[in-house]
Amino acid sequence: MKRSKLGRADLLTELLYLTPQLLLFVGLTLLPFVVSIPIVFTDKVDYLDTETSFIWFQNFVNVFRPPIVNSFLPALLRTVVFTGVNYFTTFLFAVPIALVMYELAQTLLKQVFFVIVYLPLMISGVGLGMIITMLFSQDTGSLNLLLLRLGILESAIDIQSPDVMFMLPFAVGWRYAGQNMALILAGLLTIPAQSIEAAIIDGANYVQRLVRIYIPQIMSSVLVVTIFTLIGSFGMVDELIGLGGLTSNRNAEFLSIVILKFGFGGSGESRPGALSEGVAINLIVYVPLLIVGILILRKQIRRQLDT
Amino acid sequence: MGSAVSTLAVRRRRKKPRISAARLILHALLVLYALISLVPFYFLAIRTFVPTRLATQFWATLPPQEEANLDASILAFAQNYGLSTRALRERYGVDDFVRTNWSLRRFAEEYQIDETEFREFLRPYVNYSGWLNIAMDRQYLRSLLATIFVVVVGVGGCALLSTATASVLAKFSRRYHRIVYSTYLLQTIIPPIMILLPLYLIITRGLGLQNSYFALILNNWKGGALPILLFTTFVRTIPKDINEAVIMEGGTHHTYFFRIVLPLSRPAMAAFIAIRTPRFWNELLYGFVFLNPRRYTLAPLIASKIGTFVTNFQLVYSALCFSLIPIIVLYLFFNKLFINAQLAGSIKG
Repeated sequence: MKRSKLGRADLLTELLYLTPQLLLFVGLTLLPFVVSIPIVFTDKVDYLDTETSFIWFQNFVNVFRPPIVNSFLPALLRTVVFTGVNYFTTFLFAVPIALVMYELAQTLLKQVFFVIVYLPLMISGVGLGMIITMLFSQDTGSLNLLLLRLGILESAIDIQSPDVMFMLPFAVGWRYAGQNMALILAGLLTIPAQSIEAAIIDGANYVQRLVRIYIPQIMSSVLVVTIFTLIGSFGMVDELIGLGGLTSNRNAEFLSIVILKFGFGGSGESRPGALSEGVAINLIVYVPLLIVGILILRKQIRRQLDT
Repeated sequence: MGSAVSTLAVRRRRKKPRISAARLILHALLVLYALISLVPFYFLAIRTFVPTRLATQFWATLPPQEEANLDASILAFAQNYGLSTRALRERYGVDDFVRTNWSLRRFAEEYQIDETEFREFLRPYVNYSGWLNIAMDRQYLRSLLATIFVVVVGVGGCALLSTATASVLAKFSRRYHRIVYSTYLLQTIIPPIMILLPLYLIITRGLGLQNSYFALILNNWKGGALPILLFTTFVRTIPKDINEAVIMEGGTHHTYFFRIVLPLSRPAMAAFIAIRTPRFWNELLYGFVFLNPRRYTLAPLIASKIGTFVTNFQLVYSALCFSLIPIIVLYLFFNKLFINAQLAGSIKG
């Protein structure tokens, strides 16, 4: 009896410490899912719309019909292409830098390099979009103008064209190079020194060590980077706003921008669709993504809990 | 590279690292990457001094000083360089309504202003319109202060709440500890845009926090995967004996938290602040959605300067620089802390 009272008191104290943040987390991260479910079955036009009626699954049908499909599918295609290229460039930047950092001894140059490689992370997403515009705007882009002057380019790169799907991943890879490098480097640092020593003594060259030791060892980090890249690419907003996705640049209209326009796109003709249709797009795209994320993350969580 | 490049483990045993061709090439590649990385920052700094009129030319260095074109209309000058008619009236003691369709020359003639003096007055507008506008427009300072407030209160509060949460979860002694911990980790796979539309309803209708900085602060306080992971891992490094000793001496969880966990958590808090500050400093989406333009924090304020048809590039790039300078200075001061936090966070993740 006494023990159970003590246990209850402990539990109450624990809840006192847990509840404030947990309430906020549940209320502002998980509850929004629940709130969005009734909206998707109504014809709610915007946040001020109070006269709504249930239309059941009509919103899911509407997003695949004109005029919504005309903005939804191209945006989905742009997002998917961007995600693919972004996945490639993420590793293009992170893996070589991590491997070089792993091989080199601690020198002043290495320290300075660390400082510089993280510097782009200080730029905001919208700032990154603006920097891409500053460098590659067709008329005013500094690098465009330089490359044209040097004769390296025959015609200027145009960030208002589909080129943006390929330009943006490089800029994003540059911005997150430090963060992703750290994740890969963390994997490399777990390799037992004896394994490498033994491989060197056995005459294994760098490529053999890379294939047989380094790459298998960083697979767990690759998984983490994959989750971040996948979710980050589909949810990217700030960079696209910086590229004019909300205003004049149609090619920077990825899924997230379409959803943002459906939710906050003003009223009347300027609104591309109803809020409820935006929520339907949200559920169609992100729920499958969430399931994939949970499946990948489950293993990681189990590993965390076991350690 | 071959085996000429030794590994970290082997190298640790050597007193002096061997200088090989492979090592030199690696260093050269690092220098090259670092220089390429700095190019955008260099161009950004230069572009803040390039008038929008000259933006279609390539500038590797600062452009020469420009003279104001007095034949331009006051309206065109105001649009391109941010000159306000109030500044004109105040400077030259004009009580009348300023006719913006007049040319600057006609304005000078009408009010008998010396042309040389008038050109001197207009020179900063032509050459440094971005920085001048930022200095004269109070919204930038207001926005900077708002950003500092949101970041300090948001990150500080999140660190404190997450430490409290971690002090309980780190025990992993009850089944629900694991469930709550896993729930927090779920946050890594939820894109903010996915929950934005319903979140807007909860924040504005449910909590009545439309146009309040607390809408942003609460979104920081709610925590998530990173703080819970970081602080739980840290609290678990505190020997269990200490907690048991506290309880044996009649202390409670409050004693353990305030006397042991909080004072020992300083390194974890420093790491958390180092990682989280740049992210919250640059937060755009929540500021954009929850605040009115007059109360924007820095990121949404800068985003609002991108025009549909007309963009004052000099102002946009100066504003971007203005928002970057404080965070870069902070980063350069605390770079070791930031880098260590990133690496430690990656290893723990």
